[in-house]
Amino acid sequence: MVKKLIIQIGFVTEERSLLTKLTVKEQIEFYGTLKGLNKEQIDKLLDEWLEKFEITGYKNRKIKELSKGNQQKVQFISAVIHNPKLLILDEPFTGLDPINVKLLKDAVIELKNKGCSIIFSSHQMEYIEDFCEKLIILVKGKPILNGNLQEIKESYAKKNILIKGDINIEEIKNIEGVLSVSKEKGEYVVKIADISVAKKVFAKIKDKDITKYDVVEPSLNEIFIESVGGIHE
Amino acid sequence: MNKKFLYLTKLSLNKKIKSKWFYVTNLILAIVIIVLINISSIIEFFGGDFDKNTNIIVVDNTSQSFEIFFNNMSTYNEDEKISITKSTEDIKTLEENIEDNDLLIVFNYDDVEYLKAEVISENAIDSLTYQIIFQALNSTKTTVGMIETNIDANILANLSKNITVDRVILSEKNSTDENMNLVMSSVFPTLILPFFMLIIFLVQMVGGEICEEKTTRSMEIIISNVSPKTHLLSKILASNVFVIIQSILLILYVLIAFGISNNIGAASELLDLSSVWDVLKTSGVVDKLYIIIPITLLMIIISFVAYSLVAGILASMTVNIEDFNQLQTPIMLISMAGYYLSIMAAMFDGSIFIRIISYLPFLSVFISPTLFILGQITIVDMLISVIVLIVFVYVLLKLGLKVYKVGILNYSSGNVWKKFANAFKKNE
Repeated sequence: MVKKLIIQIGFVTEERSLLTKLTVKEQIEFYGTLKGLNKEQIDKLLDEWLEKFEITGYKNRKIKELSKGNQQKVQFISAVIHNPKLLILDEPFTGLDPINVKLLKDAVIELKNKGCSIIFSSHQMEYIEDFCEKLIILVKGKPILNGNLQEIKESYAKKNILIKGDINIEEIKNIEGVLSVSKEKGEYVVKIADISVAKKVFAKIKDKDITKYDVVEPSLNEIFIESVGGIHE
Repeated sequence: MNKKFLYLTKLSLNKKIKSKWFYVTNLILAIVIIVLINISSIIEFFGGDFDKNTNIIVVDNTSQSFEIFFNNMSTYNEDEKISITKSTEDIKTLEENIEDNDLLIVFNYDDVEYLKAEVISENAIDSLTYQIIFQALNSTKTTVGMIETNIDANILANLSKNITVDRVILSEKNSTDENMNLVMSSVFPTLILPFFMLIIFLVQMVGGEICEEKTTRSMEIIISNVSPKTHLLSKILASNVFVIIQSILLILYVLIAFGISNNIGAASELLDLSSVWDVLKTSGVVDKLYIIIPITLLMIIISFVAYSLVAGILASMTVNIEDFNQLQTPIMLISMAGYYLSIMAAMFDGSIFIRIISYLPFLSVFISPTLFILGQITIVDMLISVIVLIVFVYVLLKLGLKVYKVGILNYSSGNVWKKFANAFKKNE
């Protein structure tokens, strides 16, 4: 029973778990056979995945000759070659450039759409926001935040207002309920204690020369920092 | 049989056999073995010779010694590597014209010893040739003395002969004689050495492979799909099969080398197997071969399994190859002790200490066959060693698997002995 369950799980480890002296083909055949596939199945699926990740030419190259990014792709392929029902990803995007991140993300989303459940472990909140539905934040093995991602963000009292235009920062800072005002990437980010403060801020700037006014949920990064805070290791 | 077990075994074996290093190593081994066994022919081919022809020029100032010396030399000069000629030239002239392979012998009468000889050469000559000439000169002197003193030839021959010794050993247990001990000290180290080297190779192979999978973290994927028991046993089986294949290849190279040697008709004097075989026959070892060979082969195979089990278990407790190399040093030392004890076994002459050691796993495969051949133990003792070995492997497997299961995915760099203790606690 346990063996049947294990075969339905794929696992991408944080550190690459590849035998670097093998070629890509040999490595995938090795892991694929352990997962219960035969050679023909593996070869067919491998060709599909190599094409998807744009590394068809590396099929007979040794793992150690590949770049980090390509090794990570091979790692990913080895975890999904048997079409698992559950895929566990442990920091899968570490060390990858944006192009390779997108390739892997697209592959994960494709698997998710095919019905694969995904457990994604990461410290990079921006990736989690991209395709996670549910979230659990653990600190020292204990959950401190748990639930549907959107609900967590919506229920988070603190909001951010993004403003582009000519505003008086001191004036905004003096409004009760405004926690901080900063300038990031050409726009002002006004952190407010709750949604009701947004009206007061709007009232202050409505007559000014404003090109953007947007009330947004805080990023997951902010929620993480706020939640973990002093108990972070 | 478990498909994954067979797959892992085949994969591990193929990785070893299909590597370029296997081909290179065996090519080198084959060349080295063939060259060593045919070294004298090779040297001859390139213009050298172990035994260069020696040319003896005799100046006989006694007018009777040359013929006697010539006849005496014929007895020792069966392969005709020494030519003997008589010269009447002046000694100084002969000395000036002497070549590297020439020997000048000058015979002169002596009032006390009847005959004296002066042996002159450009360089030192090899000890074997000198020994032959010296013996011939002694015989010549005896004959000349006999002629001068009119002693009967038969009486003198009997007086000069070596004493005849009838060797009797009363103890049935110690049925080998001193000649056998001499053969044991020269033949057996050569026979045991490849086995000793293969053990080192085996331990390194099993441990190295497991370490590599651990350090690359691929072990995490492997162990999530196969049990630790399947993984360990596949490594042991693959490595042992490989070592057996390598042993067969080594024997093949030796047979090829001897085949070449026989075909070119130049058996090396360094490997006078016929005389070794004669001694073995005389000492009764050949009669025991039908017992020794199967039991020794059985002990070798079980010992290989034991060594590779220990190597696998130790590798599971380490996190890198450097740690493993340190941990496996005691195993290497034990096998080395076994090797040296087997060479020196003849000295112990049936002591209880060496007998007990011959029962101990890891050492029994070296010592037990040696003591049996020397007649210091019986077939029952050998069988006891085999049984002890089998029981040991069984216990090692049972206990070792507990350690292996816990250690194989353990990457902490803590104290190894603590890890061992924790492994047993976790499995209780």
